[in-house]
Amino acid sequence: MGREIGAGRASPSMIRRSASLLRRWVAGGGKRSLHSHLRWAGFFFVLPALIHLVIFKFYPMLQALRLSFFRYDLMSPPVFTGLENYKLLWENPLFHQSFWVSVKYMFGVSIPEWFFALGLALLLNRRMPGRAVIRLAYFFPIAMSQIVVAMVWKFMYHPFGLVNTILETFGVGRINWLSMEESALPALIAIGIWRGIPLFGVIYLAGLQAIPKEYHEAAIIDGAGVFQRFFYVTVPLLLPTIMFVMVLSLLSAVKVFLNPLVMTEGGPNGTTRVLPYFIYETGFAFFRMGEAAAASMVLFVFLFGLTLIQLRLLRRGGVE
Amino acid sequence: MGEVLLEDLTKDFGEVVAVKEVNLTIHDGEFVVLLGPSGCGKTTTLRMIAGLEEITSGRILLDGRVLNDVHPRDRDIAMVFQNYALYPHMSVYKNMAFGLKMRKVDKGEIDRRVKSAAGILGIETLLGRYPGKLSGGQRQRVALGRAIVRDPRVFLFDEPLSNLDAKLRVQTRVELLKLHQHLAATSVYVTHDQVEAMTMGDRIVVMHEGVIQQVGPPMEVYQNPANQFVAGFIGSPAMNFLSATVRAEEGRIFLEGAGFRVPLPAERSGGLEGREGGEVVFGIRPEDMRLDAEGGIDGTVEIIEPVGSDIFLDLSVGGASLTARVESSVRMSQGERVRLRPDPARVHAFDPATGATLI
Repeated sequence: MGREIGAGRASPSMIRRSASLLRRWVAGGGKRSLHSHLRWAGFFFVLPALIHLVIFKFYPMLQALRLSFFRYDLMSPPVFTGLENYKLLWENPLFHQSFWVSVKYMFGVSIPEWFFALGLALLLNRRMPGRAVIRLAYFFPIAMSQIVVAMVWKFMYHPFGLVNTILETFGVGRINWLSMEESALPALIAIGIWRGIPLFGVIYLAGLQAIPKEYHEAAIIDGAGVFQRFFYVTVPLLLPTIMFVMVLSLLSAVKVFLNPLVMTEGGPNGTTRVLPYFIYETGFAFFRMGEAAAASMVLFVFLFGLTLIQLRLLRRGGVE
Repeated sequence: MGEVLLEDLTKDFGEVVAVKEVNLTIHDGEFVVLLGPSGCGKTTTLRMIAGLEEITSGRILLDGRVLNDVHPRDRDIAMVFQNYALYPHMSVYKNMAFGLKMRKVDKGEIDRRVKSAAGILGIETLLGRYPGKLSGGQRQRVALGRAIVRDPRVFLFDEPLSNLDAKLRVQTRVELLKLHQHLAATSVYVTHDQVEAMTMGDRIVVMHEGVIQQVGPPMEVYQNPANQFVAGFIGSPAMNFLSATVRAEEGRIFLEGAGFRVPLPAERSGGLEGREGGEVVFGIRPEDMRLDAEGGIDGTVEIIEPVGSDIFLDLSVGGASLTARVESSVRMSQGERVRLRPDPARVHAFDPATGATLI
């Protein structure tokens, strides 16, 4: 109940001495050196990431930009051709086809992901037995190697694979999913959605759990039902997460490469030749490195523009 | 009307019993404060009244209607949350109007009620702003406004002042009381701050480990605590407790321990009958002692704490610690020996085993 005094207490003279030392340190060189130390410490903390960024991201990007103005086949020296590669691209119907395949794939994968992932997160956010195990199970597809996923799905889409076997029980005939123009891209889109939902579900879940439960409780007392709480409380408070998921899902979808490479090689008839595959094919199959670099630049500008539009929308929605 | 009745109200979370057989009647228009330390069950009780927590057993009635299975929106109650829970994406106006909008109240009526409540709280100029742009005090008023517009039968407050700084807390406390007088609605207020409880409540309900310890008007609880827990919890600085032995000499009863010997008047010693020679806990509040050379408590001054109007002396009495409040004009020095005389009418004694009040 009482306070311990006496033996452990500092004497007034000791306190005075310490205070004067502290004052001198703060007023004098101590302050400056502390600040400059902190500044340098911050710089050194970000330095490894900065080095990585410069060497492995910015430098190759600049090289690609430079290369896009040259004709280069990996064997003879590069020849400067100005905007010739961009002109060739513009005149290449395969490039146009690839661009639209990419756009179809991007929205075909992303839009269902936004909704299904949110639905999954809302389900997993509820109290239920074995929630941790269920969450882990849903997260599992992300942990699998992408090449393994592509191989497994290739077998599953085989005319005698699992997908057709299941469909057969419902009376649907066997379909050669990856060899038909109508079904190849939807088949790849389905894999993209399957793989993306858990990742974005987890991001949504984190967003949902960051909403303080008092808002929902206040809304319950205010008389809001389940749907009203969802639209008036959950969605507005989840908006930053929703926008983040939208940007991330579009960017990751448009960069898809391994699945078309392993499963369809861009076929049939280029219906699954997405832009990254077109770039790969132009550069490493036809050795037109300059044209491939120009296509990379077009893809970059497209993604950059898309991201800017989304960030603008994000700010307009009052989210920073 | 707004009479709330809690009957054998119990809530357990698995093995842990948060609220245990609480029985309480809160009268219409009364301001009742649920007071206790963290984890005492006061907030759980409030949340059960609100309908945010399921009831394990017992009943809650509002004006005779059993609320156990009534949805929170249909209970005709409003709640002010500890962190205000103002929707950050809605303006002050929309925050206040939300409850009425959900109840499909006519737009004109919503506008009238929001503006009227804003007028009462002096926040008319804030209606277009967002909660993120408001100060703590302003948010607090908006949270109150959101409750007022609903014109509920019962207001529930969950530590609404705990996020305010000390000065604003005192100011808002007074405003809340004025508001209560103006609205005359039944209010249940949860706090762990005994000063808030003492100043605001018509009655205080002191809770500890899920059980009601005492219910009564603030001064009644302060002066006649039901047990040692209540005695120690209410009052700042807290009541002093010293281990004592009951002595009977020449027909008088004394409480005796290391460094003190306190005689008790005959009319106050009834509770100690038959305990001669036994151990009790002697309790005395800091303000119930005065300096007196003939006093029964012998102590050494260890710390002197002047607080302006008074001085608190921390004394060592027979190795134990004791706080006394003396007038600000008194001059003391550390290490000085003093004697204190307790007011015999204000001496308390508690059973050391059960904590029950003996006198």
